[in-house]
Amino acid sequence: MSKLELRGITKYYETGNGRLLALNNISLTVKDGEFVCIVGPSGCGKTTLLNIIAGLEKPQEGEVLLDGRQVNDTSPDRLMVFQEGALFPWLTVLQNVEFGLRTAGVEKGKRQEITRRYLEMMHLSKFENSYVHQLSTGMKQRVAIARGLAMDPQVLLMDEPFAALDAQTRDMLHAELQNIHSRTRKTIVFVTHNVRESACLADRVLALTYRPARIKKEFPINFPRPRQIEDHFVVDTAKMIFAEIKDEVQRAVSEQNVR
Amino acid sequence: MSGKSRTNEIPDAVLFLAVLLGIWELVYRFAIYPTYLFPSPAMVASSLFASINNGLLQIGILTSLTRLAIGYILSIVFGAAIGLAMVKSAYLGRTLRPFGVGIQSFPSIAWVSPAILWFGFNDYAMIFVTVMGALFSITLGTYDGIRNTSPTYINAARNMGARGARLFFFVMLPAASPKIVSELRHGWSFAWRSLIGAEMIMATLGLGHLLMYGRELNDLSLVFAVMIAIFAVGQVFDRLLFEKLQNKISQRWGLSTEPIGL
Repeated sequence: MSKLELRGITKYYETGNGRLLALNNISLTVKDGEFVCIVGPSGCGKTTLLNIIAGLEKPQEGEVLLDGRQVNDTSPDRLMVFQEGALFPWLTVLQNVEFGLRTAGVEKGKRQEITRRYLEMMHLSKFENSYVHQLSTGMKQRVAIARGLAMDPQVLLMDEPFAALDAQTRDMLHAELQNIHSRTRKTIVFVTHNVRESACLADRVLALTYRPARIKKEFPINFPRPRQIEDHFVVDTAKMIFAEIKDEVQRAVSEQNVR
Repeated sequence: MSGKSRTNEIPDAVLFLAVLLGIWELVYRFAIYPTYLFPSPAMVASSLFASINNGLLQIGILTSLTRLAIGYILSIVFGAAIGLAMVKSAYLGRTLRPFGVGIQSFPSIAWVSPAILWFGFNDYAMIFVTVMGALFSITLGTYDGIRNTSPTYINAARNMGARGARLFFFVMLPAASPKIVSELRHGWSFAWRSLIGAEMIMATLGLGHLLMYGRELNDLSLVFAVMIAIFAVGQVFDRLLFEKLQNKISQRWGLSTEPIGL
């Protein structure tokens, strides 16, 4: 039943003034098809946690299990949508989306069929021959999501994918992402510092503490979808979550000022 | 956008050359300097046509370009190999990079002396000097280009399953391409300069040799004609090959869409 499991993940960095503990004994389970949001103050180690799930960073302790099997290296079964998209500027939109399929050796006809299907889903069909710099920030993130979905991953990992967007574009992408989730039933782990975004999107929100990051509290969210960011239950839940992490945010702000 | 500035560029260039020729002709007409020290544009033009008619210029260009091609290709092969070795080994990168930057500002013509002693007065010596002119800018271009590749690109590609050769040829190399092409362009112009210098000293055919030949005959018209040929050959490759390539990359990446004027 559990798709993804983290057991006792601990990660520290050696710095000039000793050891910096980033993640402290984090364990969590994500069910198949579940949409989990991880919230916490900036710099708390959310991205590190996601990188560890993706296999892009290694923890000192603990293990990551996918379908009950331990995973170490990075692989398209846990596909990451990066904060700034990380699209390749030397490729067209179509070539970007089919990059992973090409790497996997999917033959051309099949590859283009899959790619075009996801481009259509993200309303990008008209732009398949555009280069990345010709797109708006919102379109770039839609390409990045299409690129992630095209690989048909077991788990889709999203690292603050909407942080750089204006509010209108973000609202639109919130709707699209919920739509995709309900259609594909993908397991999604979504990291954000935006509490309201987490309440809008997730089946379950995990609030992290600041340095070292631990899971402070879990919030199951059972409101019907599609939700909008200004829905009153979203706003109320966000208030509740924020009350829980307010101290952590303040600690983050004051410690980051001292540095 | 770029189309518009292209059409403006040609009349600009024509106007510039017309003014240049006008001033040249004027100075000649005032007879400030004796004719054998300051030939007129028409005299240089007739020298140019004469040396084309008797085949001297074509042979010179062909000889120089052959040496240049061999030297440049060797520079790319060795430059890329050293650059990649520096990427692989942090120690090599740390030590060779400052050395390479230093040797780039070193006048490569100084290599003529050891080259003559090692190889004698022959093509090998000239090719060696050419390679020493271009090698390090290609080395540094390869090294810096790959080293400065955003780790996010590499992470994203690895996450999508790319490893080894695929990661290198389909991600790291294209990501480094703007830097690499710009250093290939520099390398080419360094190679061209070094070669002409070497040919002037070692004198066995080639455009540099033709320059010295003109000097020995006290034929300044021929000297200027050869200089024009050297300039033209440089421009043809720089503008038709490297600038086009760089513009193409810049447009794709959205770095800049405006080509730089004359």
